Parts: sequence; C-alpha cells; structure tokens
Amino acid sequence: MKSDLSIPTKASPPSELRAVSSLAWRAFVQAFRTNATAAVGAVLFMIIVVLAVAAPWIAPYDPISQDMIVRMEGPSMAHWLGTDYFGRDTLSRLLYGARYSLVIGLLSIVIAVAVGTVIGLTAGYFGGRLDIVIMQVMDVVLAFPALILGLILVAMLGPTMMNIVFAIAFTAIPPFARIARAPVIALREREFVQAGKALGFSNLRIMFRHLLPNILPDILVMASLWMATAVRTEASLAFIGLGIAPPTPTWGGMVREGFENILDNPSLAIFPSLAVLILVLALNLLGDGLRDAIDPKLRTEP
Amino acid sequence: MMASPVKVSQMADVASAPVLSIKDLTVRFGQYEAVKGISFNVAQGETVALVGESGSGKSVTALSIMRLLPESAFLGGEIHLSGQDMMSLREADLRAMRGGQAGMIFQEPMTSLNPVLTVGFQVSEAFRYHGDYSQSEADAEALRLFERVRIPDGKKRFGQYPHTFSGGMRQRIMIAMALACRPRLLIADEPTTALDVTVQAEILNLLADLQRETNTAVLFITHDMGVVAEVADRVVVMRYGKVVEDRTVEDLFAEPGHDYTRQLLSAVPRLGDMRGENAPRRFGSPTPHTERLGPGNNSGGTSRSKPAALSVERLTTRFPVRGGILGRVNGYVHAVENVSFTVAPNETLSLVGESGCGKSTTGRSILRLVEPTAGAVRFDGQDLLSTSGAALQEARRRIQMIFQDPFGSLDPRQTVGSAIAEPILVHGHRTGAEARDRVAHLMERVGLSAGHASRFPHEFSGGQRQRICIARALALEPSFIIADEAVSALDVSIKAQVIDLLLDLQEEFGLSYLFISHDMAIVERVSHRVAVMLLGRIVEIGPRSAVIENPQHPYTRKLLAAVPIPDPSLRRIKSTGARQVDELKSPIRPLGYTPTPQRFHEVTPGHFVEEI
Amino acid sequence: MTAFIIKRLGFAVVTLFAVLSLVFFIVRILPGDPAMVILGDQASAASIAALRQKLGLDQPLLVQYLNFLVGAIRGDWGVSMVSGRPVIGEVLSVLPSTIELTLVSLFLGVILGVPAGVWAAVNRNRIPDVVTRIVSLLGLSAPAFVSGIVLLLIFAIALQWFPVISSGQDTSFSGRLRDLALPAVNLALIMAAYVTRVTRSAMLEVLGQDYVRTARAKGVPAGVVIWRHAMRNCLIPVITVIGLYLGILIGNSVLTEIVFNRPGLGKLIVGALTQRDYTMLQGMIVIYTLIVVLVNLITDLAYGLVDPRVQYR
Repeated sequence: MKSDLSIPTKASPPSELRAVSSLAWRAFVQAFRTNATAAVGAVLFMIIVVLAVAAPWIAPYDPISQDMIVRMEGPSMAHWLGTDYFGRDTLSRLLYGARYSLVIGLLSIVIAVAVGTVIGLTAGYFGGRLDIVIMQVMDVVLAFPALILGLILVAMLGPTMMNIVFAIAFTAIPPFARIARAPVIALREREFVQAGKALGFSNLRIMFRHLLPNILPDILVMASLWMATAVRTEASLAFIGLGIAPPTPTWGGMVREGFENILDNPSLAIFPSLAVLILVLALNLLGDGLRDAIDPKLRTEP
Repeated sequence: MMASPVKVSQMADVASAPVLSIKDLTVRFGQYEAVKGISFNVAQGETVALVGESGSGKSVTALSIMRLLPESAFLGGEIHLSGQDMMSLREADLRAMRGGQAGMIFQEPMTSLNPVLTVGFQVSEAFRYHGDYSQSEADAEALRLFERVRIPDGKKRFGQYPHTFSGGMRQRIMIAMALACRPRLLIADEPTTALDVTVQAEILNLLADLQRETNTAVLFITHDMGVVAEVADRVVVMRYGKVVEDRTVEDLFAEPGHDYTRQLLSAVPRLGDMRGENAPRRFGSPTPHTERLGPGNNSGGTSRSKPAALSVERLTTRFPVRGGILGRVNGYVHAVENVSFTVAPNETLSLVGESGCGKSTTGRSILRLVEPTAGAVRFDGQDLLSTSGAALQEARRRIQMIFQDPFGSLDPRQTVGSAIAEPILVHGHRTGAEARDRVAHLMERVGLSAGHASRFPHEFSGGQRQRICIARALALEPSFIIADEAVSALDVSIKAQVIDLLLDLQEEFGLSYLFISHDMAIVERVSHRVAVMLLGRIVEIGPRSAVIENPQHPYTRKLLAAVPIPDPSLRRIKSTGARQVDELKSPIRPLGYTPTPQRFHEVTPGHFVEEI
Repeated sequence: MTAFIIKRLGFAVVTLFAVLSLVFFIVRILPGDPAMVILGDQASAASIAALRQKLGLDQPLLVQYLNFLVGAIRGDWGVSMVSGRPVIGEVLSVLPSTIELTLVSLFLGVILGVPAGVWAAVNRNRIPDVVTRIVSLLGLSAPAFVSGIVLLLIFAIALQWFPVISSGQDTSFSGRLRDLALPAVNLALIMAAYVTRVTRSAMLEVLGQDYVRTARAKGVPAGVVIWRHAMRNCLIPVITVIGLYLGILIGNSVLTEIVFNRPGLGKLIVGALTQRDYTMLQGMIVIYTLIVVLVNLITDLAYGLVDPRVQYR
C-alpha cells in the first residue's frame, strides 16, 4: 500500500511542485538568482540610492550656488555634465536631485501601501455592501487621471515636499486597495479562512495574521512598480512647474529649465531626463522580475 | 474526404493491427520522469481502462499519444496510431491525426469549452479542418451529432454559449466534438470525475452506446475502480510511471496479479459491502494505531436513548438573488430549506446528495460560517443561532470542522505546528510550552511525526495535510466534528487510511460526526445513520442499513442505482436506445415563494421518507 | 441591455454629482479667498467686496452650492476669473484637439500593442519576447515629457521633419496631420507599451487554458487557435486595461501638450492652476469627470461584445 506517512521526495508529481512554487517568499530570493531582469533593476537602483546618500560627499559643487561666469557650458573637466542657465553644476544638481526623487517616491508609496492595503483587506474580507461602497469610491478616484488629480492637489495645497508626497500617495491608494482586495476575495473562500472562523479566531486575527502575510508578496512587488510611477509623477509635476519650489534641485524641475533653452543647449534637458528614465526603469525592472518570480501562473504554464 | 496523411491502402494493412500501440514510452520533464517505459495496445472496438492514482503518469500518457504535451516534455519510445508513427510526424500531419484519427475528452467540462464561442461553432469546427466541408455542411453534420449525443432541443441550443449548459451537457458536447470525424480511437481522460454520480451514469451509458454503433477503440483513463468495472474490457494499472498490470477486467477483479492492484481493490469500498451490519467498519489499513485498537468494528454503538449531541430544527438558509436596475432582490436560492435532524453522542450521521443540494451549506450554517435565515441549532442546551460573541466562540470550540481541500485548508505561510497550536493559544487554555506538548501529542496521534511540526504545509502530501487538519480540529477537544467532503479529494488508498483514522478517533474520544459526502460507498462505510438531501431538503433519513438497503424515495433509489460497483460481473450498463438526460435542477425560487410543506412517513422505526 | 445602460448611466450621474460636490466644497475650504487671490494682496477692501459680490461669494454657502449645481447642469459653468470669458466656451474650443490626440494615439497604441503582445507570448522566452519586453519596459518607464523631448530633438529639431510647435496654425488636413504626428506618436508609444504587456500576459494565461488544449486536440491549426480561440478571451483583460490606461493617457496628454506646445485641455488646466482660476478649474474637473465616466461606460459595453457571459446586470 502506498503510504502517505512519508515526506514526498524529489520525484513528487507536478501537482506537488505547483504547491511548492506558491511559497512566494522563497521565490523572492530565487528571483535574484534566476531572473536577470530583477538583478539588473536591483543593481541600478542600489547604485542610485548610494549616489543619492553620498551626494554631500561626492558632489563636486554646491547644487544651488550660482556662478554666472560658467553659464550654460557644455561638459568639461571642471563640470563633467556642464552647467545650467545660472552656472550651477549639472552633475551636483543631479546627485542632490536623486534624493528628492527617492524620498518622495518612497514616502508616498509607503503611505499608499499602508492605507490602501488596509482598505482593500477590509473591503475584501467583509464583502457585501461595505465592499461595494468602498470600491465604488476607490473606482471613482482610480478612474480620474492620476497626474491631473496630483496636479490639482499640489496646486491647491502648495508645492511643498510633504504636500507632494500626500498628493502622490492619494492617487496611489485606490490601486493598492484594488491590489489587496482581489487576492483577499479569492483567499476568503479558501478553506483555511473558513477553518480559522470555525476555530473561533477573531476577524482581526484572520485578516492580519493569516490573510496579510499571504497577500504581502504581491503587494511588495506592486509597491516597487508603483514607486516607479510615483517617481515619474513627481518628475512630471516638477516639469509642469508644481514640484518643490526652485532653487531646490529636482530632476523634473531641471528638465523644465533645460527645456526652456532646448534650442541652445539640449544637454541641459537630456541629462536629467536620462536620470529620471534610468531610475524609473530600474524600479520597473525590479518589480517586473519579482512579479514573474512570484506569479506561479506565468511560470509554470506550458 | 480525409485530410489525413494515412493512405487507404495502409489503412487496409493495419485493419487487423491494434488501433493504438505504445511501446517503451518514456516522458521526462527536466529531471522528473513521469512515464518510465510503458507498453500496451488498444484494439478496434475495445475499451481499455488506464488506472492509477494521482502522479501515476496516466494523464501524461494520454496527452503524449496526441503529442499535446508542452515543449518542455521529452518523449522516448514508440507510439503508433492507426499505423502512423506519431513520434516522427510533423505538426501539420499531427493536426490531421488529432480529431481525425483520435478524439479526446477531458476531465473538466467547465473549462474545456471555449467560453466565447458558441457550442455549435466548436463542434462544427471539428469538421472544418478534417475534410472538404463548407460551413453549412459542417453545421448540418454538427447538428446531427447533437442528436446522437442526445442534447435536447439541439437546434435551439446550437447557437448558445457554453456557460448556459450544465456540466453533463458540456461533456456531451465534448463527446460530440471528439467523435465528429469518426476517429478510430477515443481517449477519455477522467471524463466523469467532475460529474455527479447520476450524470456520470448517463454519460457512461452514452459512451457505451456510441462505441457499439461505431466500433471505436476507447482508452478510458480513470482512478475509479467502480467505473473501471462498468466500462472496461481490459485494464492497464499504472503506478509511479510504470505499468504494473495489464489484463482483462474479469481476471483483474477476480485475482489481481500484483500487490499494488490488490491493495487498490481492497481499499475500494463497495456499495453493499456492509449489508447486514449496523456499525461503521474500518478498512483495516496499516496505520501505527491498528495494533492498539485492534482490527474490529466500531462496536461502541450509539446511544440514541441519550439526549442528542446536536439537534438541528427547521434550519433554513437562503441567499438573495439580485437583479434589475436597482439591484433589488428578485428571488432566493433556497440552499437549505426546513432541514431537521439530530445526531446522538458517538454517532455518525451522513448527509448525502449531489452538488448543489445544500449539504455543505447545512454544515456551514450550523457553525454560522454562513448565516442561516431561520431555524435552531441546539448544542449543549444552547441555541447556536441565537448566541453571539463569547458564547458562540465557545460553541465553535466544541464543534469543529474538517474541509475537503487539503491544499486549501491550511495557511500556506504557517508551519503546521503553529497551525495546530494557534487555536489552543487563541482560546487561552494553555501556556506556550503546554501547547507545544499538546501539538506533539496530536501529531503523533494522527500518525505524523512530531518532529515535522516546523515544516510548511506544502512539504506534506494531500493525505498528510488532511491528518494535520484533523489534528488541528482535535486541538480544542471538541465533541462534535463536521467533516465536509473530508476525504473526497484523496486517492483511494489514502482515503481508506484517513477514514480509519476518523473511526479510531471517534471510538477514542467519543466524537459525534456529521459526515457530508457525495460518495455513497464511503458513506455506507462510516455512518450509523444517513440523510439524503435533494434541492435543499432532506427527502429520506434513517439508520444506514435501512436507507441503503431499503431505499424508499425515488431519488435515493436513483442515486444508489447510479453508483458504479467495482465488480465487473455486476455490470449494469444497458444498451437501451433513448435514455433520459439530466434535467436542469435549480433551487432558485422567485420572491414570495412558499415551499410546499413536507410530510414524512415512517417506514420502519427511525426511517423516515418524504411523502410525495 | 437597456436596463444595464440605464443603471450605468445612473451610476455615472451619481459619480458626477459626488465629484461636483467634492470639488465645490474643497475649493471653498481651501485657505485663501478667491477674490483676494485674483486681485492680489494690494487690492482695497472695497474692490475685493465688489468682486466677491460679482462672483456670488457673499451668498450663503448652500445657495452658492445650489447655484453651482444648477449652473453645471445647464451648461453655465461661470466665467473664467482670468479671461472673463465663459468657461464652457474656452473648454469646448480646445476639447476637440485633446480628443483628436487621445483617440489617434489610443488607436495607434492598440494597433501596435496587441500584435506585439501576441508575438511575444507565442515566442515566450525567445528573442521576440525578450525584445518586446525590453522595449515595452522602456516605453512605460519614460515619462511622457522625456519621450516627447527625445522625439522633439530628433524629428523636429535635428531632422526638421515636423514642426517644433504644433500650435494648429495650419488648418489644412496635411498641416493638422503634421501637427498631430509627433504628439500622437509620443502618446501611442507609451500606450502601446502598456497594451503589449497586458496582451502578452493575458495571451500566456489563455494559451494555458483547457479549451485551447481542446481546440488543439481536434486538430485546429495553430494560427486559428491563437486568433480565433484565444484572442477573444485575451481581449477581456486587455479592454479593462485600455479603459484604465485611458486615464494615464489623458494625464500624459497634459505633458505632451506642453512639450509640443499644442493647444488642449492640458495646457488649459495648467494655466488655470498657475493663475488660480477657480471657476475654470471647476469646469475642467467637470469635463474630466465626464470623460472618465464616459470611458467607463464604453468599457463596460465593450465587455458585452467580447464576452457572452456578461449579462448586463
């Protein structure tokens, strides 16, 4: 008789393998080993983080001190990436600008993840009318173009860093509510949740001890993809003129200033544009690779 | 007419040769060898059953015949279909063979049809790529097929989409599609596993009739020995990718040649096995506890004279159906309608019925996992439906539930030790160290090693997971357990072991069970009493032997008659022409519907049947 | 079907009402008296009071609210605080330009993205897949102003194929086409990137379904399996995403209009924001909400064309 009392060995059938692959935490580590995309993204991102943190020590110039003698110069030994309209060193401004992009992107997504996840978890777990009402409200906000919503919020609140963080977080809450809700709806019907109720566990316990750990990998992956969006939104706001007020160096603001002189010196617009592109790309690569790693559907299908 | 590369002269040559011939077939996925050098033949007009438990490689074999495996599979050996070497054919020629020389039916009728194409199109398409049919000719042929597979109202249903068909009807459409081009071989991969037992009987009859008409060879893949006995001429038993036995069905059941086959057959409960017995009986599978408990019957008997452990009175659960512009309720699903029963201490009451009959909802309503509409559930002198808060939690501690899906009922991110300990700690009865000891004790008790407490659910097999769920349910020392299809997802040999465990535990702890199942043979094995549910109501209830050996309600009789018996000498598939087909049954009722009152008539003491 | 449309329209009206109310009260709650903002710090108390009266700001909040709602329904969205012209006229004069831009780029994006996604899915983990993956990741990483500037530098400034300023001076068909080309391509590339990725993953999922295996088992050729059996199933998630990304497209159109100096809603709203033109802003929000609600309605209806299971309930 085939006994079920032994732990299955390597030669277990594919159905067992599928269950193994659902353990997404393991996949996180695996992602970096097997997935070049995630690794490239992670390395690029780490480089930008290190440069941003080290900016005060490695930046050759003060990012806001003006030097009218070297205005609008191209790249040289003294100024590797040239200088802007006010004679400020582009490289130094880029290094300091990275700090604002990263901090705003990170903070706004942390807020959006925290608030959105709780909303989505609550709506998905309890279902019914509460779910309908919450998600209708989320859908209305979600349907509204995020950039325009952010634009209006920043314009009304005033372009300070915390207001920008708040505006971007606000636009990212509905997607996270949706991202959290969808798997909760599926998990809610799973029997381990029913079993938890049958065992007399409280709703809070089931939500935060059992459901949350199961949806967390999905959410963290989406967080890296949405941080890419947040960085892009911040740069876009600054490009429109609603970023942190000058002379603070922000990448979007630098593109804006460079764009005004694009016919004279295109590099002023190109360097900060490239910086935004590389950071957003790094985050997208990272998130994309992680998503492939935790999505058993995309990995095991024929 | 045939677009197949097989020339007519060749066909004549192979007429006497087997339709399908497999020799030394191996299938590898990377390191994992799913099929390890198997050989067998299928002759014209013959039905060969390919039998095995999950992971035996039987479905992989079926797919490799049609060369439908993903590219990651490496095939070795020989497959000849109608004399054609399937291993050497190019994609275009393979296409002509698929559907042309061999048709295939799959297990899941709900997902095997394309939801966005009409069923008529999907059937007529089979003709379009195998011969010079115009669309209208193909449609006409398809419509004729609809009649042959006995789809009522074929003309009207031709242009409808799959979601409007029941599971059994969809499987008929799959059969029509597979047989469209009169293939010489029909491969049926667990074609009735997902169907209710009465629908299964209809589909098996249909397949038998069609085979007689066309003299097609059939390769029938299944795990169900009862179905094997009903349909097969010859049986090929597979285990771990190898063929362990290949002989006629009569010989196999009469004197199985291989140990594995013998064990497989002994683990299969036979409806009628328990004739003349009153108490449940173990399968006698070798578990670590057999010695201690002895092989005997659960002779403890029940105490119907004592007050009931649980009594359900006029339980009703309805779900609103919404529709219209304002989403108003315009009807109710009468999932459970006025159901009453009692379960005595140390007794097992089985709740049986087909999918949608409300048996699972009844179980969940008792624990209020779904909120009942009306009724009372008395347990320990309390009405569970009118308690709340702490009292309800305390009642839930004393009534535990075991679910069907051993993959789904454990949190994948929690070690099994912590899963078993959590209820103990939440209910605050013990300290951490005490809980750890109790977990170790429970794991040993259900036949697992206590050392495995720190492992995650995915490291265990299905049967082991079900044991973990049982240990978790026992953690709170309940007196009543609701087992909702608790063994349905398990392989037959594992099923027997888990049933034995449940019976042992009942004896040891004096548990009462509400055993919810669709499997009549298992029910016969475990129950003291049986209740049959149809469309949300109990239609017959009574002692096990009375209900199963002397069924009174027509539905109970139909249900019992449809159960395949694993004994080829009792084969009941008859070759009558027209047969009734499954009518759509629905418990959805319009607003303001008042259910007709039920009246019961007592046949023998304790055996009640609905009066019609 | 009719019931479904009525229900969706009802929902649209409720949404619109909610957004209008929200906008009205947010604008009133925000610090700063609009009259003072318009006239500046140096304005006399008398002139501020006069303007407040003119704008109706001296009336009770509830009356203002009712006036606002009635006006919004009747198409009277007030006059711009800056230009003094009716808001609705200003909005309607640039609306066609933005609609033209979004629709053309939506169309181009789908035409490019769907086949690319299918191509990648069918050649999973082979060179076409890797190429489309890298290109589409680049496409959705580039902020619209970055890709716009790149297009502008290459095709307008270096090659001089297209005008640097797409201002709409030349009203001939070829002139409008030249004005439209770069902005539309800019938005279309981003749209195509999103559509490609969604199509790829949807197609991969569909190709793994049982009914695809069924189709292959009856001998249907590979091309027919993909385009007839798989494609319509794959379109269901693609439509969802197109509906969602239309919001992103509209947001990106703001940046595109700035980069290419093209008239449209984007430039209008940026102007209104920087000049604190509250009435104009209210009108803009109403028009954006209308567009969003309309897009949702069309998306919902599109499901029904593709998926017979949608019962319009």
